[in-house]
Amino acid sequence: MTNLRKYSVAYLFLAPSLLGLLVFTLYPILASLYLSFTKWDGLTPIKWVGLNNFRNLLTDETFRISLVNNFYYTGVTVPITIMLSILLALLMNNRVRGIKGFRVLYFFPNITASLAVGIIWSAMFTQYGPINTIISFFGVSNPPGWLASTSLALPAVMMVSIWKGVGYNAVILFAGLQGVPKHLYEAAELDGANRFKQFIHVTLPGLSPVIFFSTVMGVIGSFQVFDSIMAMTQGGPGRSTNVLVYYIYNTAFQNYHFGSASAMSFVLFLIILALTLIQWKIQKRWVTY
Amino acid sequence: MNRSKLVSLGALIAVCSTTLLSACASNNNSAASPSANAGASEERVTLSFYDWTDEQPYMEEVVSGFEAKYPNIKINENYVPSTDYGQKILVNLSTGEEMDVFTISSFSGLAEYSSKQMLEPLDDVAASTDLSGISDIVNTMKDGDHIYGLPYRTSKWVLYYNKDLFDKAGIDYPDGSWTWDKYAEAAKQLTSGSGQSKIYGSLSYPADNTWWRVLANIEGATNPLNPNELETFKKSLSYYYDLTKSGAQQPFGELVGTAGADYTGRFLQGNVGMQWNGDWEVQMLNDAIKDKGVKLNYDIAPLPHWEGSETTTPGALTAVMVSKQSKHKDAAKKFAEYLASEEAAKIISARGLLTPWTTDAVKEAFTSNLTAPENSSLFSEPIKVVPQVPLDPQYNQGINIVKEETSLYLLDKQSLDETFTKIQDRIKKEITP
Repeated sequence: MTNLRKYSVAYLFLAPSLLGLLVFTLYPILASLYLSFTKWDGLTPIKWVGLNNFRNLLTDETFRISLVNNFYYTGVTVPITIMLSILLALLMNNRVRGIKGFRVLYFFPNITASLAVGIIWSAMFTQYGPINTIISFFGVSNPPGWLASTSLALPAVMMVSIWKGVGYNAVILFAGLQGVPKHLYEAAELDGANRFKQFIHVTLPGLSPVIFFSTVMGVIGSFQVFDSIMAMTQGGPGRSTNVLVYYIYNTAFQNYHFGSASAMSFVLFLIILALTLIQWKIQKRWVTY
Repeated sequence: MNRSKLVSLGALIAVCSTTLLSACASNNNSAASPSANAGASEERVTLSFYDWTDEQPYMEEVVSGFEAKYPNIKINENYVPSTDYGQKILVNLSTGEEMDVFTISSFSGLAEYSSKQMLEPLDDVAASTDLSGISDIVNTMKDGDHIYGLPYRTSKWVLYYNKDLFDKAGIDYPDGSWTWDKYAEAAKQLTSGSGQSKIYGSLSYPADNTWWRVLANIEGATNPLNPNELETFKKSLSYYYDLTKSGAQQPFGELVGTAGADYTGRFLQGNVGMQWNGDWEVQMLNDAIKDKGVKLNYDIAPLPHWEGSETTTPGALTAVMVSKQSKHKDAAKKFAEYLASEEAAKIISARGLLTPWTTDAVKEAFTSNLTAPENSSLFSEPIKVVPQVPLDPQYNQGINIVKEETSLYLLDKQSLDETFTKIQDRIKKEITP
């Protein structure tokens, strides 16, 4: 009883945000779970179809293309982003004049609206855009039309999201670097470890919790990629850069198949959940706390 | 924190939330309440009307014209950006939000709403004497046994050409006798130069464009879901592809993204000889010439036709509809009728937009406003108008499949036959009736 009284004030303060969470997050999630077992166009009555939506996904070609693209996208962007971020964090850790200004600069892409970033980059990737001008400067006579190519459009989007993500992760890793105890470096140096060995045996293990965090968040975020696709390629050419969230958006809000779109959202949720659980299991082998 | 403080905090929250609720409620009331200057003793009705933002300038004028004629009906106007418009209408219809009258620019959407029993039949209004001047066009909107939408705007496609480039190449200006073969030939002759000063005879678009479908529309093919019509689509696309391969159009790979989609901007640069486009292009070109001081010497000509066919032009009708959920159907029908009437047509035409009406008064309103291009009276000429979008709720999904597959053909990723086999397969598989 005293407990209840003790906590009731806390709950009262929590109530507004908790209520928001229930109404705007939990309720839509449950509603879309229900919708995934139905057929609904937004106008006519909702019809229960059981597992049909999920069964149809098995033969849906666009769904398969999107899923493959998602794995490709995550498989490339997450490792490269993390590696570049570690390098950048190490650079930021140097005591160089004006380093604070650079830290701000690297973080800049992350705070810019991704639709704006996408539109600017799609202009950079055009046939006679700046990127091809640089490439032809290096002697490539016939530079590709990046976003007009079925094989290069997705890599172009990946480059942009890596460019956008590196600054954010570097700042987090940079903070992590401050937490690696100095005395470990001194001990390693006394034992004769060179800079590279210090990096492998002291820095990386010290950073591993932060790297783990960045990886988990990176995988979740990259599976939900939407805005850069929307701004740069709109799934094209053909369906070559279709990803799940973009396909879900089209299914629900262009073709008004809310049931099937909800089913896809749940498949996406399960995939992300599974990948996160796997990472959680594996982390015991490489993350040191 | 003691008990009394807790109570007062709770009370505060309760008060806050009720204020919020009552704020909502009072909003609703004010929308339905009659305005202050209502002098009439008859019952006043307020209609909720939805339209997209682009139409706001002349629609406000039409609405005030209507309110002057029917003082007891007030129109509550809601304008939604065109990108969100379809979703907003869907939300209104499915949640029962107050909406009596709304408009749509796509036949396919009209068919979708009527197939789901969302629309009130307008047969009685359609047959009224006020609309007898456009009864032919109104009757093309028959969906099954009923008419659910009344047309109040239309569009026409014409050939736009840069006169200076024609003079320089020494080619006669296009006229009604032109076939598409002649167009391709002239486009090749107009093409010259290289690099930055390259001049293309014909304007092309990003690979996922459906501009080429106009060439199928004029042959009566509008619906890719119909295999026969798909054949005509194929012929048009192949012509369009060859036009680019001949060098007379900028390659599709160079036109990716927003820059490629800006056809007006590229035509204004003065290095494209011809383009086929809708009547809206006149306003866009004229505005740029007038406001931004761009120099462009252009004119328009009838759209070319295929060898052996007559000259036609595709016209997409914009229609007004009455929601089945409307509580004031009689008033709503009156407004729909007014919007499609000659009176409203005069207001809309004065803004340089086309309406289904071809009476002298409407023509006069249209041409008095439009001084350029020289040949702008062409829009009032009785050229046969053919539909551009079929009354089929699944058209949008179909044309998206067409877009995805044909862009791969235009980018040389698959052959023409392969493309159309795939389109047919995908339509069969993905579009369930």
